[in-house]
Amino acid sequence: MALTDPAFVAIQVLNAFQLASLLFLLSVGLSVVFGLMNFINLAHGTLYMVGAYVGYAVAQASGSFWLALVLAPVAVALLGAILHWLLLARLQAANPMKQVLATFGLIFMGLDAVRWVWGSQSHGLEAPAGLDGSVTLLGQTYPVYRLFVIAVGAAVAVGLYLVLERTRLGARVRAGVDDRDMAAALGIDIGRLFFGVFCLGCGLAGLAGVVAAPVLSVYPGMNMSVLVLALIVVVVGGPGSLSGAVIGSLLIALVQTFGQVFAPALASVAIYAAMAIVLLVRPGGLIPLKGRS
Amino acid sequence: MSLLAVEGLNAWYDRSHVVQGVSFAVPEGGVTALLGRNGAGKTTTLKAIMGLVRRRSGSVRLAGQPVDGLPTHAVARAGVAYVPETRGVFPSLTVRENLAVAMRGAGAEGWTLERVYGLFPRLAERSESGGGTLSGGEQQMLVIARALLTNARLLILDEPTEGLAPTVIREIGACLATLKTEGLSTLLVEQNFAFATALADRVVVMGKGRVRWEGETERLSDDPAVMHGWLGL
Repeated sequence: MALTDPAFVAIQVLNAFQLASLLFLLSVGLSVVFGLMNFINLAHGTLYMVGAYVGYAVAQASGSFWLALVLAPVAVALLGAILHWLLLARLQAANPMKQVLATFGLIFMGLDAVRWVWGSQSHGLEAPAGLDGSVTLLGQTYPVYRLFVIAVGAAVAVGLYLVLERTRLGARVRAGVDDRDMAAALGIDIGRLFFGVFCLGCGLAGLAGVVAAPVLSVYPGMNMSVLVLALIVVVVGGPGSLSGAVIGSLLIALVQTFGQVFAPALASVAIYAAMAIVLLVRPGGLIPLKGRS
Repeated sequence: MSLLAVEGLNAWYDRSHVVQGVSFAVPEGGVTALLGRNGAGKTTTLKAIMGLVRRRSGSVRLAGQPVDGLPTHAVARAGVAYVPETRGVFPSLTVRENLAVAMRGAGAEGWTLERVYGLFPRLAERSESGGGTLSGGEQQMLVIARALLTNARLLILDEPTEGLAPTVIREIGACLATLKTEGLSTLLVEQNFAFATALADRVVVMGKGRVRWEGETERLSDDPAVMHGWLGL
């Protein structure tokens, strides 16, 4: 088992793509919201965890993974809307430290809320029929569900690309990321745009949670490791852009996956080292914001 | 009735009281130039009108309707198009996208993409280029075209000739003169005195945060105290 075995490398690359897919779903909302409003939502990982739990609960109650896949993101997007309305809208003009502290507080509220409802033990969510088998790739068996995770991330990336690059609404979001004041001076309601992007980002975090549930288990605290990775993706990729989130997710997932295979003890260090190198070479991230100096 | 009526406008930049009780009016049709030395408070006055400064007070009316206190996007939708000194091209959008984001589904008689491309053929040629790749003159054309596409009643331009070559300045001037004959109302802040007075029917002179003179352009040179004291000419 080494880099000389093409099948082994291919499987690890697939594993990295699977992780990249989840990281992308998580980080894209975080990234665009940060680009649009300089708003840091540390509770984004908590929304991912809530998505996993809601998905688990819906699948338990209905017996349908597919229903969970649809309802969990919707529920988390609604939760995002409520959070925005109750708390975050009041913090937008406030200084970043207030946002950090308030959303940091939400992490703990989220942890206790899921413990209170679902207990401290971890839960499993089974992959649905048709996706629960495995396929043989280059002589190695590989779970079909992991390919599905890659496909979901890729489909969302393509869908977001089409909306952002091919529609006037998408152009308005990019305009807001480039220069918020100028966009407002053209009559674009940045607050409403931000609300929409924020809720969509929350929904995608919820989608990441329910999609991740059959691969990783569902437990209180599943949000923490993933939040750190998603924040690193935003910093490495450069905030505010779809391509930054895609490239950042791929880079961090490859470093994480291959790091764990070849030097498990150094894997977590490797990610921070990658981040440090990227920031030394390109302080604005791999795809820096064009409108800012 | 004036198109824009500013009364007792105050604005602060951080802690300094940059705009101190400014009152002036912009009539419907024609060009009004807002002149003054660097630091006179002209740009902050424009930003205060647009709701882009945090702390402001006073009254701003557009065609009689109060727009002070409105968020920036609502001032824009009420009919004010603002082109800042920094121009505000969206660098990650193409020229066409820069224009498209400003369009709000106006009626047939308003400005259309074809009409602004007719006014600025250079923009039509560069329609798929990235906003960040334009020259200074092309940027200025783009932001004026974009402002027109909002179908605003009042166009506010902050230093449109800054940093541009003389030939480009002439081109921009010719375009603004055309827009003036078409009846567009413009409030122009400008350091280039000759450019501004060639276009403007009326002049408002600001100095140290206050209005020091207001009147018809041809009467400005009759007042050496204003010319020398507040414009340094």
